[in-house]
Formats: sequence, structure tokens, C-alpha cells
Amino acid sequence: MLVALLLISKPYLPPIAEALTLWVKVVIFLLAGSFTGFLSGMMGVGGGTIMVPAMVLVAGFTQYTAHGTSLLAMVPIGFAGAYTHWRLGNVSTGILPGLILGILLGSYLGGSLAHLLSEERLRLIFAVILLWTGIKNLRTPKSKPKEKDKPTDGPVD
Amino acid sequence: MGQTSINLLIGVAAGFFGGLIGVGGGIVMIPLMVGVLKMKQHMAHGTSLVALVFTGLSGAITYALNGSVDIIAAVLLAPQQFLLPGLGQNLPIPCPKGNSRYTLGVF
Repeated sequence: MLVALLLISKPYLPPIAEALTLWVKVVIFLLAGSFTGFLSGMMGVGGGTIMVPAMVLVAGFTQYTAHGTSLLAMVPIGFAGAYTHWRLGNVSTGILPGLILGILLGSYLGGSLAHLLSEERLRLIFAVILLWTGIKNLRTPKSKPKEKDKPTDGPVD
Repeated sequence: MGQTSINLLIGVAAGFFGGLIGVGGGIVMIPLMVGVLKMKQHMAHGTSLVALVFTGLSGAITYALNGSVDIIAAVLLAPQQFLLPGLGQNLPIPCPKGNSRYTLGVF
């Protein structure tokens, strides 16, 4: 939620990114990647919610580039996670064909729409969704005994 | 409505959302799979991770066509994540998630 507020106020913040040298950025990317990897393994998040703000706020990427880069970086992560879950038998193969077809279509449409919107509006949408997920997480009751069987769930992207 | 068309619709929703805001779409997919398809929570997680690979691919291609992908940054972001989930992967089921989720919520 803090990050969402930062994102909304981004145009009013001093541009940190321009002050940073290339190598500092490289280190930041490596750190953000590690942090994302750790969290995504622990909580099942794909990592976009962490990577995108990191790129926009720290590295000064445009919202479009941050989204595109996050999607690309997600492929190997998803692959690793998917492989582990596949081995454990946690993949429902029956629904995959329809699901994947839908996804290919949907993400093309979503990506195209993103480019039709202005950057401010796209950032606002992203921040609102981040806020919404954050609030949802805060409302999740703390450590219930049968957490894994709960029907609704939080931040998995 | 047939089973396949339901799957297709879930896919379109997840892909659209994921493509729009640059995330994997699990936020949409997992509740739908659990709620509509009555899948188990970790079954939904596993399936969503497989699906996420395709969201990433197709989304990244769409963004790349519009010139909005920084390949070097993606290369820098990805490899540690490739290694680290191994550490966390065994945690999600046994550990109480309340605290970390709370933290992520504030974040």
C-alpha cells in the first residue's frame, strides 16, 4: 500500500533515477530480483507487484516498459515454479488447453489496451490494483489453522 | 456453458488483467479456479504458475511489438528468482502465512 501511494505521487517526487549510475541500477535490479524470487517462492506471487514498482520508482522506467519487462522476467520464474508444482502433481492438466488459449488472447488484448492509455492513467490503474490487493491482504485473518484450504486468497500474480 | 468455454473465459480474464498491468494474472485466476472450478488451493497455485508462463510470453511479445521491453533489465531480474523459489517453495503449505502476507499488504 505504501508503494501504491508512492506510485500515485510519482510525478511530484524528485527524480531519483537520474542521479543513479548504471552500476547502481544493475545492483538494484539484482536485489529486486532476489527479493521477488524469495517472496514468490514463499507466497506464490509471480512477482509483478514487486518488480513493476521497483522499476518505475527506482530505475525510472516508464510504466509501459516496466510492465513489458516484468512480463518477460516472469517467464523463467513461472517455468521454475510450474516445474516444481508439476512434479508434486499440483497442476490440473485438464483445464490447461482452454485456459492457455484464453490467456494468449487476453494478454494480447490487455497489452494493447495498456498502450492505448496514457502513462498516468496506466500508473493509476496499477496503483489502484496494488492498493486493492494490499487491503485484501491486510484483511486476511492471521494464521488460521487450515490456511491452505481457504477458498479466497491473497496476492498471487 | 461447457467446461472448455469456462476455462477459456478464465484465461481471457486473467490474460487481459495480467497483460494490462504487467503481472501474471494469478490474482484473477486463482480465486476463479477455486471459486468456479472448485479446485484445491494449491492445485490452483500450480496450474496458475503454468498459465503464468504463457501470460508472460504473450504479454511480453505484445509489449515488445510496441517497443516497451527492456531485455537487459529482464535478464538481470530473472535469474535469482530462478534459484530462490527453491528456498521458499517448501514453506507455503506448513508455515502460517499471516505475518508475511500482512507485510506484503503494507508494502
